[in-house]
Amino acid sequence: MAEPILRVESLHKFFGRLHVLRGVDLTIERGEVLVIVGPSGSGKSTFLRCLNRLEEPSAGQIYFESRDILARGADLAQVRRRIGMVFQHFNLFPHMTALGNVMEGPRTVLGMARRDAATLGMDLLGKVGLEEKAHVRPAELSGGQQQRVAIARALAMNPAIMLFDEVTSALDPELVESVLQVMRRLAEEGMTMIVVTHEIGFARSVGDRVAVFDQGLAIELGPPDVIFRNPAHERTRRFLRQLLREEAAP
Amino acid sequence: MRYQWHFQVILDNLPVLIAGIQLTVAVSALSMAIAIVAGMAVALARLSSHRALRWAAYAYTEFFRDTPLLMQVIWVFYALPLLTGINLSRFAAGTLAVSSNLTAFLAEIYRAGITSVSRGQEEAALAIGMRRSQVYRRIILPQAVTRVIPPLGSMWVSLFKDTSILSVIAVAELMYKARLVAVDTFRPLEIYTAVAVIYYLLAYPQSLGVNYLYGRFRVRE
Amino acid sequence: MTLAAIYSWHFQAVWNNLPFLLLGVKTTLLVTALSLVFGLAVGLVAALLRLAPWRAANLLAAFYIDLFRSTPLLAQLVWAFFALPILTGHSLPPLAAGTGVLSLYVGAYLAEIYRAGILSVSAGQRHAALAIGMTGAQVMRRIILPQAVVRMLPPMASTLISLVKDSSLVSIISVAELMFNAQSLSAVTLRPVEVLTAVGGLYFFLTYPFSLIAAFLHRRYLAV
Repeated sequence: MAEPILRVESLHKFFGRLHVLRGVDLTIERGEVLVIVGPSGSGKSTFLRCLNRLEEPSAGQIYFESRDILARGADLAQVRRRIGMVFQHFNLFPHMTALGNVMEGPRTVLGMARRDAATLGMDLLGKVGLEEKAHVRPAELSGGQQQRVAIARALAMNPAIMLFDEVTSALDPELVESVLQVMRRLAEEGMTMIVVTHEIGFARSVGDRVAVFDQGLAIELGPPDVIFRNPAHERTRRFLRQLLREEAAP
Repeated sequence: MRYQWHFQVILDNLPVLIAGIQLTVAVSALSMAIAIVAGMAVALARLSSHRALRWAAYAYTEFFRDTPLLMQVIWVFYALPLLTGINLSRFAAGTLAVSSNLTAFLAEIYRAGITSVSRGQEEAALAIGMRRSQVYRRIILPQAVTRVIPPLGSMWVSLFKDTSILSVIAVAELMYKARLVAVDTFRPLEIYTAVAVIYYLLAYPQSLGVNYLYGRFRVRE
Repeated sequence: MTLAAIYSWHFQAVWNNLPFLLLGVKTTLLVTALSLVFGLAVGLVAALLRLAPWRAANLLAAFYIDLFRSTPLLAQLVWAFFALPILTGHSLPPLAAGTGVLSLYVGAYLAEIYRAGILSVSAGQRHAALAIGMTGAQVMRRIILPQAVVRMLPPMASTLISLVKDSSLVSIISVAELMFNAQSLSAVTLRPVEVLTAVGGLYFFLTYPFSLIAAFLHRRYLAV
């Protein structure tokens, strides 16, 4: 049995006196798609951001590709090259074109030659369906298009794992599907993914496992059918009921 | 009014006043050049992760922004030589005071420009594995530049007018020359009015230019 | 080895004459307060004229504002003190001249702050208010000014700090405020280093609290 790509043990995070993560344990296998759901304030995003140390954990261990990434001498920049992240508000670089955004990582961080980076960039933009928008600036793209460029930008670094932080929450409903489609394809190609989302349909169809977060802990963990059809905890039931009610409403 | 205006006296002394204008521009340009660079250093110190550096930069900017330029000029000219034993020419002392003062203001402008670039972009850049210096160089500073240009233009116009304070330590810029000529010709009304007009004619178009900059470099988030 | 070690500091000169310096502080505060009050009034009038629907009023107000913002304060003070008396035949006492000029000077800057604040309240609200039958004056009084005031607070706090600093320039036309007294004291005690350093501290104590207030106001009312 191969070593899991990510091992999180007893992760705690305090914001001042607020105990946001209360000892999360989680293991992720290579090629797995883990979907994280839960009410707002449960610590899902904070957890994700601890994985690439955009937030500094207060206590606990994180082993990524068998290396302790919380160790004192850990080279953060190196670690982050192997972890791709897509943000809720896209965070594209407004002073660069779509292609420029995708090329930026390979050129500046990996030292790739411009021509090679451009080829790679066009490839990836093609993969997310946006080659014609290569020379357009983010301001002229729709939210869904910006998010797909953001995914391409993260993929350009050839990461071992992709983290998605509520990437469709800021999108108009009709644009959500285009982004989910790209994510579905990625999953089919075997990318290891951790997806924080409210999209239950996606979780059910694409997720290998679902983790339910509540008040800083992963209270349930299991295959989607089990979690959604037969949750063990009352809190999960309540949360799902509310979520499904929102989903049912047009 | 029975007062007889003698405008001839202005024309007669125009060369003197023009020499004053030249020095006004020289002091302004030199101070701005120094402060543009020094201000960046102070701004980066203000944003650094070393607490001592942050505090030193903070103290510097607060002191120079919260005390009068007149006081700083007089301090540099009268007190500094006694303290350090170094004697500076009037021009050097004046420029030192003005550029130290301007540096503090520019540092704040730079700092505001840098921090106004959204945090999200900084995170996105870090997330693809950029080091801090790369994040600054490729993402933050290029965007900060456009945000900083209009306030910088505004500071230039203020600087231009503030150099008049150097007349107090007899730096031969426009205001000082005006006082010399006014005393010399016994015609303060004509001379001081002329000088006010000169400043207006020089500064007003520049402030229109600054308005243009604000329009051109508007930040649309 | 620090440079300050070469020089032996004798702050006694300052302590002995503290009352004299504090007298200067009092005058500085007086000049600042008076100029602020008059400036707020003049500035408001100028701003309203600038925004009024009559071209003549606009041009007049614009000329006043541009004139006082495009010429150095020092040039204005010198003109009021040395040139104006020749024109009118009467000399003006330094305090009156200084305060008068400062009022007009800060008034011009405040006028622009007023104007920006008023214009920042969206036009839509003005239309809505007019649509329910309010007069122009009521719209200004009940809808626009209350909202505009909040947005004006941060730049006004900055203007106040500048005013305290600018008041030092009236020393040049012999108003016995802090800077003037500082220079007299330096000359008499022959200890400019201590006196001027202490004066720097005094000005800092006057303005720093406002600097903190301004930063707080900026964060609270203008941060995006």
